Amino acid sequence: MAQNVIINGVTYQNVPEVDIPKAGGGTAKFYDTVGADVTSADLLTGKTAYGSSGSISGSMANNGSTSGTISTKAGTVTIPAGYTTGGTVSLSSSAVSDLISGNLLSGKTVLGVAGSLTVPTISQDATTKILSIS
Amino acid sequence: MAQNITLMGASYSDVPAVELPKTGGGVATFTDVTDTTATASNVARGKVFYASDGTLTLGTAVRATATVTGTTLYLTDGFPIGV
Repeated sequence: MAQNVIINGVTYQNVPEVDIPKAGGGTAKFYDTVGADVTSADLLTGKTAYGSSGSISGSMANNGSTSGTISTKAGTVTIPAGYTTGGTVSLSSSAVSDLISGNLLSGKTVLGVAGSLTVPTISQDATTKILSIS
Repeated sequence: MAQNITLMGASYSDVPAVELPKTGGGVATFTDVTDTTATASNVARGKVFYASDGTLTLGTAVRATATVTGTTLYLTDGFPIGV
């Protein structure tokens, strides 16, 4: 950003920064930060930056790797708000090993696995009382 | 941050900002930003801040994306809203 300012009665247009000699040599630079729109929530926690109204400290949580395992039907993994380096959410190995076609009824599909298990038909002869299972 | 500066022969210590009158009235504040610790990857994409060298900088941190392959959800680097 830049400002129109007056120094010693002289007007200067579109001034983005002011350079002043440092006591120990060199130049100190001061910037008009009005054009910055970063807010605390946009900035990673532990970091600082200058927004339009001065210095701000970051509040965006740094969660590092975000991963989880689901092992029950009602299980969930909550991904917290904030920064993450990435991760995976997967079914537990036991759930995956049990999720096979032979463990599922024919006609049912669970997570892409089609069942092949059939239920036997049982009948009983009315006279002989013999059970017939097929 | 603050600087020790010399202005018109006088020394001033620990000066964090310089205020100058604006042509339309009011005061323009010019700030020393050398203590900024954020870099572009620490700031949300599209947001603007001043880096420690005074460069007006655009944040580059993107939102994380989630993809599902089979029974696994893969979360990329970034910042999710929280789900």
